[in-house]
Amino acid sequence: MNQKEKMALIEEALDTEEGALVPDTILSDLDEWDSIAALSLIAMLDEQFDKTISGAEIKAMKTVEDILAHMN
Amino acid sequence: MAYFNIGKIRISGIANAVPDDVEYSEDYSSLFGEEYVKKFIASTGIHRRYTSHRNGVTASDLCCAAAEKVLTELNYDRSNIDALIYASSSRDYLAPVTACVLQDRLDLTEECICYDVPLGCTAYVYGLYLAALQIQAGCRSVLLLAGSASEQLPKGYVPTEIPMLSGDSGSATLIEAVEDASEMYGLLRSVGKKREILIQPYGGQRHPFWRLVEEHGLQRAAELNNRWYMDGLEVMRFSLREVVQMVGDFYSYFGGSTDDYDILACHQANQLILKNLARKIKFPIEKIPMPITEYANTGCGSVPLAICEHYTKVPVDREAAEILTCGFGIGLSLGIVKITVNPKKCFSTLKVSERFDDKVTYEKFH
Repeated sequence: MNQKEKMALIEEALDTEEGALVPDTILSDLDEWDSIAALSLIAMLDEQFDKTISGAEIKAMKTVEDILAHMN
Repeated sequence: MAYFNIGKIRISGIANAVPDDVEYSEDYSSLFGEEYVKKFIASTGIHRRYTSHRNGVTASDLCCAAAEKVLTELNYDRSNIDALIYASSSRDYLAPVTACVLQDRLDLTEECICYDVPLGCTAYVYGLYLAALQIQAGCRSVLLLAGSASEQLPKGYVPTEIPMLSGDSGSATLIEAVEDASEMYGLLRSVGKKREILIQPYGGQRHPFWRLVEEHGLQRAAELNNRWYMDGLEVMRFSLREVVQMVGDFYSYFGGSTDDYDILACHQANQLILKNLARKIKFPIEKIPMPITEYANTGCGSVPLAICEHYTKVPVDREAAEILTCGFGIGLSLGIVKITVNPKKCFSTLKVSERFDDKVTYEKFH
């Protein structure tokens, strides 16, 4: 999966506009970054990458890059 | 040994009741924002719920109405009921157990074993197991009552978080010893080390009310007392790991596959969890009833509600359906139990508006 496809999956999980995110985007700056987005992110990583990450791992994420780091 | 297999168990009838007061998720748009509420609905699946926070109907009121429905529909002689299990954490009093109150309200004999099982979302599957044990020990029939209700709130109360995740329902299941009935089997587990994921820490003996008052003052202590905490992300992870593992172990131990079961009546945590669970255990999503959309997550009562909502909407022209029931939640606690139900004896859901008057007054107890 290339970077563009991964970004599209993150945008879908976070329910943001297409192209709204870049790797440097700070999650806490996004209106969309809330508990529901975090749940969707866990589900997406589990489904697409077979990784069931913990709540602590989610809370440690600061930027979109930190999400991408789990997508391999 | 957490696996069990108990024969000659018949589920003779199941009914549910909800408070006669409906609320829509969209009713909270002005308070929490239209976008957020839309997202909440898309993720949890919850469009509406039936709630007791205004009319004060209790879980035991709902279970009592459901029990009357089952006993009336089956024209059942209640002197045969040798045990009543109230599987719920929504109790009438701090003491005594609610099962004794219900024995009186349902006019059961005094030759009846009554006790509460204050589990959460696994109350029903644990209750099924306990009922089967009671039958094995000689009871002729057992009434399993499982339900949850929210607290009655003061008029004008404004919630700080969208309260739509939790709905209220109460159920009654009549379980009988019948010689040619099929077996009930399953697997029950507990993960106590993860108890902080879902917890109501204050007000019990570990953190009693008056200690909170000493440390935080009366006002703050009253706010903290009985408050619920949930780490939603860890609940999600638990559902995708331990629950998935348990379902896999169930198939390994008992054999069989998804094709052998008519439906999976699963605890209605939220739709996102249910869809992902279905994907991981490879259970066809159309065979997992989702009453959560209309009733929200009704805690202890969600599994029997899923069974009856399915069979009253999709009528089945046969008298036996092999189904799986699955609960998971606070404890942490989890279980999967195979039962056989008669789709024609899964009754439609009642609405209850009357709160039982126990005649307890301040004048009597102060």
